[in-house]
Amino acid sequence: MSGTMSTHSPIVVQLCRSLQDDFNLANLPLRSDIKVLTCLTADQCISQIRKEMVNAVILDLENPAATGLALRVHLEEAGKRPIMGLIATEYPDFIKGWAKSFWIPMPIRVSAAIERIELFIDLHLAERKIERLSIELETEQIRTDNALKRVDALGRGTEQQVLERTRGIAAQNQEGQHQVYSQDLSRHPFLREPFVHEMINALPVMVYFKDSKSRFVYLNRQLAAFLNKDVDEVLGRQAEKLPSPYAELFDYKTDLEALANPQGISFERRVHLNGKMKTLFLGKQPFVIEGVEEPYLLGYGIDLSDQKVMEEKFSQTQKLEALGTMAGGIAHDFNNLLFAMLLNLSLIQKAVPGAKKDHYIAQMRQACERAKDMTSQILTFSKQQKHRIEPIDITLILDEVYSLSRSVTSKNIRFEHSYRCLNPRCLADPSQIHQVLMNLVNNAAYSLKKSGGHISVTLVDWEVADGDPMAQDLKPGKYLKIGVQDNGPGIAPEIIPRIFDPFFSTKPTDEGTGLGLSVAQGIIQRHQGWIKVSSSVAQGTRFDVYLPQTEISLARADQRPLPLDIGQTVGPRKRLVIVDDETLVLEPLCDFLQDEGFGLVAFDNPRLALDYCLKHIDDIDLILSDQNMPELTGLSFCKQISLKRPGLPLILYSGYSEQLTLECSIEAGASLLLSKPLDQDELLRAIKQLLA
Amino acid sequence: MKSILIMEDEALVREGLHAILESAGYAVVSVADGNEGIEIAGDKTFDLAIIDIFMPQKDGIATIMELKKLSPQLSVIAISGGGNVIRDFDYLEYAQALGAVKCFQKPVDPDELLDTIASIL
Repeated sequence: MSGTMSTHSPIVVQLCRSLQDDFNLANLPLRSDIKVLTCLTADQCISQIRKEMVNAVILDLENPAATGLALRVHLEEAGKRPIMGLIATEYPDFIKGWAKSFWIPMPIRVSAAIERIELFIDLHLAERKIERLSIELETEQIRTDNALKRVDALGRGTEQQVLERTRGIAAQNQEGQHQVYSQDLSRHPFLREPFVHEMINALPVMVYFKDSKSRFVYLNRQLAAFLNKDVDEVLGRQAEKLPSPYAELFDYKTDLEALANPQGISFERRVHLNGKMKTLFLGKQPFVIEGVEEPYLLGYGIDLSDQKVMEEKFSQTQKLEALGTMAGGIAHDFNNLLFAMLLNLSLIQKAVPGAKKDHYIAQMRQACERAKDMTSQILTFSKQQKHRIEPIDITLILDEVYSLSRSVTSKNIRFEHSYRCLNPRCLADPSQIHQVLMNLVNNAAYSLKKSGGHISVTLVDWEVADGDPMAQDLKPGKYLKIGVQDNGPGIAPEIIPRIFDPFFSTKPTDEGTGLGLSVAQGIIQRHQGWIKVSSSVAQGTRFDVYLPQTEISLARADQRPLPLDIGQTVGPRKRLVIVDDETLVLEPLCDFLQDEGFGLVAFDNPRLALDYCLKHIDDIDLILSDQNMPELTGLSFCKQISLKRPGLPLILYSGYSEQLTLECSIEAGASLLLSKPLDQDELLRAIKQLLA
Repeated sequence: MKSILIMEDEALVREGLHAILESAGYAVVSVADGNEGIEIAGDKTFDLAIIDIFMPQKDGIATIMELKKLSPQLSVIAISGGGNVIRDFDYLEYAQALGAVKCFQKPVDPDELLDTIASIL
């Protein structure tokens, strides 16, 4: 092979039989820029083609290797395939359809052949060039595309970065703020659990945590909604910074109270919010977090308003029902009275002046009066809706009931009252108790209407011990026992179990206070008391009302005014014990002292008196005792009392015939010795002086 | 003379009725309670009984039932004060079902009452 390669020069490879061939392009005047390579074997040609860009291959088909080579060249990959010129005497059929292959007829007309070869070479070159350019273009396109993509990416990348940076900074800020408050809590694995957060937020309960400085460190969704604020607005702040009334609801004063008590505190609050009255149940308790020394405060709150509204509605429904029942009863009574009026009016119209006419007129008047009373009772009843529970002196109510009943009952009914109670105080609503007692006294009076008789109202101390049969209905403790007893026809045994049933009635409500015994029992039960009934047919009926005694002192205004004839104020009702075996003396003495406003317990048996006094020694203000008594003398009684409580005022009285001296008495512990018969004024003065 | 038995617990009404019927020329016996009324009806025969539905001890309905058993030919007028909302049904209707010849709701116009009684007797 001859000649050096130049990438730019077109190359022609010729397969010759020998170098002396006639048509050896190398020897022919080809264009100067065209390089000719002469190969003697097919392999040489192929390797040449594969080595570098060969533009043309000239083959003499008389060369036995030529056909094979032609085929091989034709099968070269398109980019490398040169044009082929095949020298042959006849058109080689096998090249039919081949692109870039042409026939050089034999005998060769050299100049034509050369022209042709040159032409095809140029074509090939041009093709090559186009191909090259095309590839370059493509490459260029791709490069441009990539470049654009990169620019794009760069651009977006920047945006993203800016955003991220900004967010990052904002988050850091918030973090910084929260860190102060949430730092400690976030240390606690419990609160880091998203499940716990979800749960607390899902509960219909307001939940919050405060730190040792009473600042909110956590609040759940319910609380934030209730406060109408974002969680962030509240965190880190004390309740005082919240607007009223929220500040008061979650104030720090109750925080301190709650922290001092391991169980915390809880309370109900009514508050006016958004034009509505709401009832909230709030609670707080100390909450210790592992690793943190000062306890946190866990607070919670539930809105009870809806329940309260329902309760209120229900109770109103009940009241309306009761009112309906009452209205029915009132209508019945009015119908009766109206009928009576019509009847009497008719009689008056037809009667001649005289006794009968006067009688009818009187009956008419009575009916009108009754109607009038009824309306005023209705009004009183409706006024009594306010329930005030307060410490009251029951004897005041009993007196009122007595005077009211006395005035409206017939003269053939005798009233008695006896109060033998040291401490007649209880916690109650005075108007309700008044109603109950009026009801009982009226019932008694009604049963005695026809035949007359007597009603006695008594008041004594009563104690219910554990294991007492009464403990079924009453809690053990001290009670007032108010008895209303009549000697009327009594209640039949089969009716007794039913008398407290609502709507059960054995009489029309013509004397009604608007209450049945069922309501009375309800009232007393609400006062933690109980009403008992006992009755025998033809002997009478007794109702006992038990009310828990209280030690709470009364407001000054509620005390019974005491006579002040020695110019000294004697505080709240004083409690006296009197002992005298002679009932003829004991009873009037009791009545006298009661009227003077003392609380009394009287005994005609000194042993019982002693037992009682020793048991209730601290409740007694003064003891009054006769000297001459069976089993136990006044002196011995005195001695025993003063052993238990020296200084307790004790008055002894004795007859002249008894050998009792003042010295003896004083030695035994008495404060004073009086002589029988007792002078009431002297006794009263003495008692007041001792009590002052 | 026709005789009428009155059973009414409200004194003013009972006395008024008694006086009105007596002055109208009837022989009247009045009691305040159903048991007493039945007792008396057992001893004497009456032409008419006026019975208040709502009475203590024994209520009017039971009294009417017993009275009708005792003397089926006795005409009974039932009167009611009404107002007993607890018991839903109409007592006067019930009384009518038991055989009361007429039922009145108080207050009744006395003349109307007298006319009714006259027409029954």
